[in-house]
Amino acid sequence: MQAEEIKKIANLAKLDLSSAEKDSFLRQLSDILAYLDQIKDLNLEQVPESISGAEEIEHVLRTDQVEDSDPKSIRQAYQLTDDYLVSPGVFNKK
Amino acid sequence: MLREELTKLNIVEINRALQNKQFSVKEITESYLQAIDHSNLNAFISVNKQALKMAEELDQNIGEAKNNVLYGIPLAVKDIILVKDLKATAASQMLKNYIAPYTATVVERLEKEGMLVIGKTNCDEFAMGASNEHSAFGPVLNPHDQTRVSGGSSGGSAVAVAASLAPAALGSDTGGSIRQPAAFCGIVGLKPSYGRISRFGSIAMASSLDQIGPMAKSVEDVAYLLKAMAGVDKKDATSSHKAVPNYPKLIKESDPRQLVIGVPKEYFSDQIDPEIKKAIEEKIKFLENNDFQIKEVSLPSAKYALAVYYLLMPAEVSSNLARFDGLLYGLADQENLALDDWYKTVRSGGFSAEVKRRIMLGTYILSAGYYDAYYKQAQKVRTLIKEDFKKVFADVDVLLTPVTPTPAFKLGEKLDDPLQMYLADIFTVGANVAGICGLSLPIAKTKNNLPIGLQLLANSFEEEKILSLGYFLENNQ
Repeated sequence: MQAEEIKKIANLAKLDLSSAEKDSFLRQLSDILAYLDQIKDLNLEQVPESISGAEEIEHVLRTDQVEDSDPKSIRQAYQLTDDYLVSPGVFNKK
Repeated sequence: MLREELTKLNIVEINRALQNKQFSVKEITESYLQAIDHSNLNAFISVNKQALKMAEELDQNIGEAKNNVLYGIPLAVKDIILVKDLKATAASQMLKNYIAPYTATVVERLEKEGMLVIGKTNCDEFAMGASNEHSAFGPVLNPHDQTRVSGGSSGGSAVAVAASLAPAALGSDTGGSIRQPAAFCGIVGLKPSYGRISRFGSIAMASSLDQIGPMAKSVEDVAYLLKAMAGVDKKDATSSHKAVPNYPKLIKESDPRQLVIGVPKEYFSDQIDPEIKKAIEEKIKFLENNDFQIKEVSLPSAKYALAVYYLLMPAEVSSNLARFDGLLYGLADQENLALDDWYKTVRSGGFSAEVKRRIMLGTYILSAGYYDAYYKQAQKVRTLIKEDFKKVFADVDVLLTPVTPTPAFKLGEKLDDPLQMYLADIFTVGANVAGICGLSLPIAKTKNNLPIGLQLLANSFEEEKILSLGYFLENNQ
C-alpha cells in the first residue's frame, strides 16, 4: 500500500485523515494486508463463492404490500421539512 | 438474604426465590441497580430509569414466575441492540445522543417472557474490538484483575454477569465478541448459528457474520434465554424458519455420552498459552475417563479463517457504516459546509481510530483492482472452511477447542498493534465464517486467578449438542 492510495481510499470512504492518521494507517494496514495476503495465491478457480455461513439460503419472498413507514425512525435526523430529509447543498457556498 | 448474596444468584435460582416469595422483582432489581452504581468496572453506558417501575408492575403478576423461568429477571443489553426510548450509542461518539425509536426483536421476545432491561452495556465501538478498549466511553475492566481487559467486543455484557451486576446479558458475536469476553471473565456465552436469532434492531457491523447471543452464569440459564430468543422473524430475512427446540428440557434429558467429540489438531499449536493448553487437555482426559468417545480430527483450511474474516468483515463494515453521515444518523455538523465536506467532517469526528481503520481496510478491499484478489477470493476460502466443518461434522457431533490463545491480557498491551489484537480472535472466527454455533464455558483458572474458557462447536442449528455437553461439564467437575 502506498501513501497515495491512503489518500484515495480516505476520499472514497468520506474520511478526512490527519497526517498522523495517514502515517499510522499506512503502516498498520500494510502489516494487516501482508497477513491477509496468505490467501491471495491459493488456486481456487473451481471453488464457488459463499456469500454467508448459512447452510442453505431459504429464499422466502413476501407479498409486495405497501405498508406505512414509521415516522419515528427518521425523527432524529439532522433536519426535516415535513417528512423530507434536508441535506446541505452539494456545491460549496463560498 | 443479603443484597450481595442476592446478586450472585443465577436465573434459575432467582426464579426459585421469586416463586418462594423470598424477595420481590423490585428488591432484586434494586440490588442490581445498586451494584451497578457502586461498581467501578465501567460495564454500563446507561441504566434504565424505568426499571424499578417495571419491576413493580411485574410484581403484580408474580404468580407467572411458576410457569416462566425468565419472569422478573433483569437483563443487561449490549449498547448496539435497540431498546425503545433508551440510548443506543454503539459506544461511539457518532451516536452518543441517539435514542432507539423501537425495540429489537430479541429484546421484545425476552420482555414478553417478563424480563426487564436494567441497562445498556459498554462495548467496543460498533462492536469492533477484542478488548473493549475501543469504546468512546472508556475501557471495561476485568473483575478478576482490574489491570486487565474484559475482552470484547461484548466486554460490558461479560463483566455485568461476571461481577454480578446483572444475572443475564445480551451480546453480539461477529468474530468471537461473545465467546472471547465470556472466556476472559469466566462466564458462559453462546454464539448461535447464523439465522437462529433475529437481528432486527441490532446495529449492523458485518451482516454475513453477526449474531446476537445470550451470556449468563450457567449453561442452563443460557438454554432458557436461547429458547426465548430464537426463531423466525419476518423483519429479518436471514432468520431461519427451523423449529426452535426446547433447549432447557433437552440438555437435562439427553445423554451427552451419545455425542462423539472431535479435537481439531489445528487449534493446539505452540502459540497457545501452556496453562490454557493444560486445562483443555485435562478436560479431554476427564471426558475420556467418563466414557466419552473422542477423536482427533483435522480442519485443514482453518488456518485461513482469520485472514478470511479480516477481509470479509471490514468490507461489510465499510458498507454498513456508510449510513452514518450526520444526516439521518450521527452527529450533526453545525458549520455551513457543502455536502462532501459535511460527510467528511462528521465521519472523521464521529468515528475513532479502530472504526476508521476497518472502514479504510474494507474500502480498499472492495476498490477497483482489489475486489477479485481479496473479496472474491475470501468468499471462496469461506466455501473451503464450510466444507471442512461439514466433513468433520459428518464424523463427530461436537468440536472441543480453546476459546482464546491467552488469558485476559493487560490494558494497553495490544492497543498500538492492531494485527496482534486481531489474532486474539484466531480460535473463534471460524464459527462465524462457517455460520455454525459455538459455546464458551469457564473450566479453570490460571495460577494468577484468570479464567480459562473452553469452546464447544457444533454444526448449524445443533445448539442442543453443545449445550448438553456444556451442561454435563458444568455439573460434573
